Amino acid sequence: MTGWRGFLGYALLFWLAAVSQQALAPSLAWGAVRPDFLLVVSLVLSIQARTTGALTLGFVAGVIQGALAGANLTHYVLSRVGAGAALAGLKSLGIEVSGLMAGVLVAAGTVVAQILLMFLAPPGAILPFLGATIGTALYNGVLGALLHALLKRFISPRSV
Amino acid sequence: MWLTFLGLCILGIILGRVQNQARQAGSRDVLTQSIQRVVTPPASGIQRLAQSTSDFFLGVFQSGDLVRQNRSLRQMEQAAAMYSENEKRLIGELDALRKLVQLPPIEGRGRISATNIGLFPYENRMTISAGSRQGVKVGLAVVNGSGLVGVVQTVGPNDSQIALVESPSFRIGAMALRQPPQPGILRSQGSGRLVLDFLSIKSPLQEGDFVVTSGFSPKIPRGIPIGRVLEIEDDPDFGIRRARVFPHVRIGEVREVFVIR
Repeated sequence: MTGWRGFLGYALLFWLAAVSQQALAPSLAWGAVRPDFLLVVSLVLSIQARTTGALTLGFVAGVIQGALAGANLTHYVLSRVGAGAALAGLKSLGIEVSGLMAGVLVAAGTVVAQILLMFLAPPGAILPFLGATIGTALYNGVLGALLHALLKRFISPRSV
Repeated sequence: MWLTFLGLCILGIILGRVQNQARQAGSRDVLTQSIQRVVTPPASGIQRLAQSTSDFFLGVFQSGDLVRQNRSLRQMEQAAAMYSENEKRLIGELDALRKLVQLPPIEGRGRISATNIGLFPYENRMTISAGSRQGVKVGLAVVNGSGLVGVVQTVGPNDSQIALVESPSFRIGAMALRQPPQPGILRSQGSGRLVLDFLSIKSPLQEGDFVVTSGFSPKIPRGIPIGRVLEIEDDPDFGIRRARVFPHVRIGEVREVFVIR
């Protein structure tokens, strides 16, 4: 997906992720562990993207996430852009991205984003937050692998 | 790559500052408003649809339980109606007494019903489905059947952001219900820990005392339940008595709320 079609495709995916995040994430939660659809979409798309694209996708995910939570935009933007950079760094190692590896990368990206967020906006209790982060990373990893398999048919590599 | 990274980080910081400035003015920045306008209405629709579907299947599989609950709720409703009548009678008596001592009567408070349409536990925030069009204003109290949920922080046309009781920035006048009532300042220490600071170390208190809002504020009325005193500790150096308060409201279970105006 490139050009206007690609832009609209990405915008639609982010919109769907944002709507799912608000409407479905609370009911899909297991205690404090809840899926982060916006992070999943941005990380899965980042796998197919160039480094600049990965950073931009992280930025967009951060802005939407921060706006929906009514939380500080800076914290979300920096943590998501950081996750995009980490993912770009991992990809530069020349990893072959299969469905399973996509899941692992999404899980790793989730951990990086949440750890950065923890430093930027320290939660009241660190241990429960870390527990929830690990659970969310596993949840996101599974969703990421599924989404990657689904998108692989529509998005060619290096298109952002 | 590093230039893009730096550029996006700086842009993020600028957006955060714009957002903070708007928040200090009690509103929301244009970007946040736009994103919420595009996302919140369809999300609310889908949430209602998912809830209806879940309720339908729950109704099919748990009909026996639901009938029992329904009977019990009807009994509770009758009890509540009696309570409400008593309350009206007592308010009438209070007003009459106020007239006798020539105090101005307390204006009647209305309430705006709303639904929780977004819970962000780590940000200690909640989004509710009522905004300025419904009469919500910054600083008003948000309650449910168990007590105080939080305070309105920012208001949009059709939704509002609530700072929850457990938010570290939360501070409110509260009192332990004793004879006479013991007023103090309630604040959160994060992760569900509420602390009520009393100015006098001699404040008579007991574990289990009921804590409610003190009403020393034009926006938050007196008597909204907050929680119960769990333990009491003294700080003789500062002459302060502190009580740890266990909140009544379980934030994860909040769905319908009222904004008290």
